[in-house]
Amino acid sequence: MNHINKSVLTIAITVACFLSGCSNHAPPVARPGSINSKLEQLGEMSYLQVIDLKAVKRNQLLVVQAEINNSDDDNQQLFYRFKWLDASGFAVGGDESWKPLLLYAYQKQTLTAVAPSPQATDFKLVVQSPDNTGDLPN
Amino acid sequence: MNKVKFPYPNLAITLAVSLALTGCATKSPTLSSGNVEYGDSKTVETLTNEFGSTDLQTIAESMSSSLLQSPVLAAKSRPLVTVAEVKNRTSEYIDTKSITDSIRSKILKSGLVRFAVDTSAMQTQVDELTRQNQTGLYKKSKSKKLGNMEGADFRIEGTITSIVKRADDVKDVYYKFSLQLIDNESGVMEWADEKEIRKTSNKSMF
Repeated sequence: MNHINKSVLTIAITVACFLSGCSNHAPPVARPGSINSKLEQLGEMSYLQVIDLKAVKRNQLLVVQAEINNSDDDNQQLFYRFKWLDASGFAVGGDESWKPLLLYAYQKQTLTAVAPSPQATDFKLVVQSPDNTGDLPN
Repeated sequence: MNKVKFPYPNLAITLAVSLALTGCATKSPTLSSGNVEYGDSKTVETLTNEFGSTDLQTIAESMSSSLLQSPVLAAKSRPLVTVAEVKNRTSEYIDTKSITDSIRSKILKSGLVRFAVDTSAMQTQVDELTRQNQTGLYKKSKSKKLGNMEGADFRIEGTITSIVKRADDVKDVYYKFSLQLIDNESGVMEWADEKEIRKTSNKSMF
């Protein structure tokens, strides 16, 4: 056979890209306004869960409060930081430092953060727990 | 059924195989011996339990956000603040100026507060004004005048203390960073906050 059809070509390129690590496994789109839409999980956490997320503007600055729940019967470590975004979606104030947070067994812990400037109108909470499934964020 | 024929089958297969083998790899623009690499400056550093970069960054972020939320700063339009001394009362060497510099940068970036020259930079300020006004090198109309500096409404001062305890193989270090905002005219302390950090290490780890 001297000719291959278009579908064979498509499959060949797709397989090649997959093997070469060019694959782009896009996570499912989170519902706007949901907690997941404000979260960036570096590997899905096994025992820690962000169960509440509130944001309010005080003294011109966005104040965010998140509640984290540890469902394990052992202590769990969380690393987190906030990304602050302006109305156009651009990052404001540079990178925050990663912060460690210890959660005792079955503890609910609240963490609060204040935006670095009045330009910050939106945020993302980036979280990572050493005990995670290693899956892509949901 | 009409199928579209691809005219160059060998080219397509060659392209697919070469993509698979090369893995889209590109050369990094580096020159390295292999022993040195750049890391994340914002990472959580726990190499030892002495005062470290994560402690400095955590204190600066915590204190600046707390200070920006204080009602006394919110009540005034861009008040003028200066940084006084933060005393190191720990048993180790800590560059407290570096902590206050970070706090000042974060507060300044908010645009809600202005900072006056502090005592450590005052000599440079005086030297610059003297150079402009008394050397005869500058046009009088273009030189910055003496006597126009603004006095700060508030000053920031504080302390850092530590409690170190050892038991068998365990070493526990507790840091407390306290910061206050004082009204320069009235002497009233208008705001104060603390940041506590606990670090525990096991000797057998080292």
